[in-house]
Amino acid sequence: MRILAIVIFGLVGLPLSSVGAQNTCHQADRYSAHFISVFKGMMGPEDSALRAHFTLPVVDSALVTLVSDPQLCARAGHAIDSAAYLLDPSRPIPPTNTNPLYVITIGNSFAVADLNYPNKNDYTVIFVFGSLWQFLGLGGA
Amino acid sequence: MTQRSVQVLTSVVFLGVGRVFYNNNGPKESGIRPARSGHGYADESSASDSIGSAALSSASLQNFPYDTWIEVVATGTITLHSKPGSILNYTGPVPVTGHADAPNRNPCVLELTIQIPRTWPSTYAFGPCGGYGFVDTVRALGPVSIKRGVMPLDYVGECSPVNADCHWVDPGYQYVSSTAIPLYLNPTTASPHAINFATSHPQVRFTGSIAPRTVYVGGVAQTMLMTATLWQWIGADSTRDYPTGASPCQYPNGPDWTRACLFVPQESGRMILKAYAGGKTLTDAVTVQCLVAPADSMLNDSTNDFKSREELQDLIPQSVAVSYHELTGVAWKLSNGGGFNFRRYFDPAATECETQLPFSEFSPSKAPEAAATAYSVYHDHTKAKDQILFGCNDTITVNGRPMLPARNPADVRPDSLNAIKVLSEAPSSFDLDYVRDSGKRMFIMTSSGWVWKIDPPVITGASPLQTVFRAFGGNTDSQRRCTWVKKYIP
Repeated sequence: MRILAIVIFGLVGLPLSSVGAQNTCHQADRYSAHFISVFKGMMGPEDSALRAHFTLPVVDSALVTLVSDPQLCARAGHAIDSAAYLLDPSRPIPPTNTNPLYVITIGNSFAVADLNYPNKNDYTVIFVFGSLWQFLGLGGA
Repeated sequence: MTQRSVQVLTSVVFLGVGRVFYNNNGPKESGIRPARSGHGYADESSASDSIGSAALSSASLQNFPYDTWIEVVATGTITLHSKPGSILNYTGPVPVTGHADAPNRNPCVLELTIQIPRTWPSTYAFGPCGGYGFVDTVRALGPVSIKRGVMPLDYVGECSPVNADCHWVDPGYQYVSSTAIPLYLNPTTASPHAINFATSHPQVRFTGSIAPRTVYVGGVAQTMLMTATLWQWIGADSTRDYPTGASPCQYPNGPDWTRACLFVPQESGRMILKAYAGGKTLTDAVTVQCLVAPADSMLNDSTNDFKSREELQDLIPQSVAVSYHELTGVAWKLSNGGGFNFRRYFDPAATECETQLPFSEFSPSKAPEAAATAYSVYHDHTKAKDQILFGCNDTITVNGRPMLPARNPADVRPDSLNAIKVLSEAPSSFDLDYVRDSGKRMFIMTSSGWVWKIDPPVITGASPLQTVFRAFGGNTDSQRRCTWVKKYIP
């Protein structure tokens, strides 16, 4: 609950300039296929604890899809900005951008990955959000 | 430095004292000692002792629980004295082969003989009496000792009108030693070597053998001997261990250079052979495993007893031992059917999130042999699904905001991305990129027992072909029966 409040505060508190440019949706490729495969692979009974960690419901595989709606992807950009602010309030807020994001719907929930900044880690950090864009946790895949 | 010099000097002094008072008659270190396993003898491939000059002195050497070919050596001389008038009127050195007595008396006096009561014949000489000889090679079983012969016969009046003390020897020693002819276990074999235990359980013939199998003793070829003291089958999934009895594993009967065991394993596993040969207990093992499908020449490398599977499975515990850091390496395919060779690459910057294997590691200069080819790269994913990743070194940039993932559970710095849950152990996007960019096949060992194989795309831009195998932790009976066999550490 505290997290939710902070995230909402973060969203509301963003400077107006930050909404001038908006993130876009990344087109489908093998990275998006990988992320979709990962979340589809979490729907089995053996992964109930993992789903509970992210408060993710069991959904039909058909409901795990790549988002192409520009408004949802722009909102996903705001959401990861807010979550990043939550995790590190001391960091300066970077300029807004139009970088494409991988946004996956899992039923009514969302997962967002930003591959615009290469790093050497063997895992992509994925932000998981609820239906109201409340931050639910970080995943690696 | 000073203190150490004193200690060494002290040791030398005590050794010298020990030699002077060495007792010829009591049990020596070469005698029977309980082995750790409680069923055998201490390994001792050689023993030495000194034997006094007195007639009928003896010295104990080794004690062999099983038939063993040994070389026995005796050196030195003792000195015999004779009074004037003695029938054997000789004063001088006596070699280990003794000295011939006067005609029609003892054929030889003071000679050393090898005594092995449990063999036939049970007594061996080092050579013709008084002749040149100091070594003999014999087949031994049980205790081996050296015994000195008698003094020359003396008669009253022979050298003195009142007594028969015509001969005596100076106090002294000759030195004796015995050494088992060194033997080695050849790699144990299994036939068949690969079985699909999910569907069948045929009898397997396990064969152990020694090298060399023969040596020439006095120009005659003699068969070297091994005795199988233990055949033990250990199932890979540790659910069906069968300590094997003696009856199926005594082929042929009697001592020989090879032994076989017929056994019907119910699952993949390893047969361990302990054999006594060359005065030592030797150990070897061979596995019987299921082949993977679709076939992969590295994973199905029975030529090298499936060593590739051991290498992959070794990654996880070794990673855990270094704070979950990923480990990586290159698998080289050797020429002429020699199987595969594995070269680890030490990445000093490895974390539990990543490891970097430079493409330069595939260069021919890194090959274990000139004709070897880099077959694949491999690494592990140390954290299972639902576990938490820590210690990722690289900065993660979130929509332009650089952040550093948490390094450990206590890392509460404000700039840390905390509690990254592993969502999948499958190959990451970066793994796929690596295969695409390097053109090298990749194997990934996961901590939950899956092994992913990624074949590079034939056509640029196409998705790599991914195959997954179950190494351990299977849920079905068929999977468990085909569990990969881990490295054997005796």
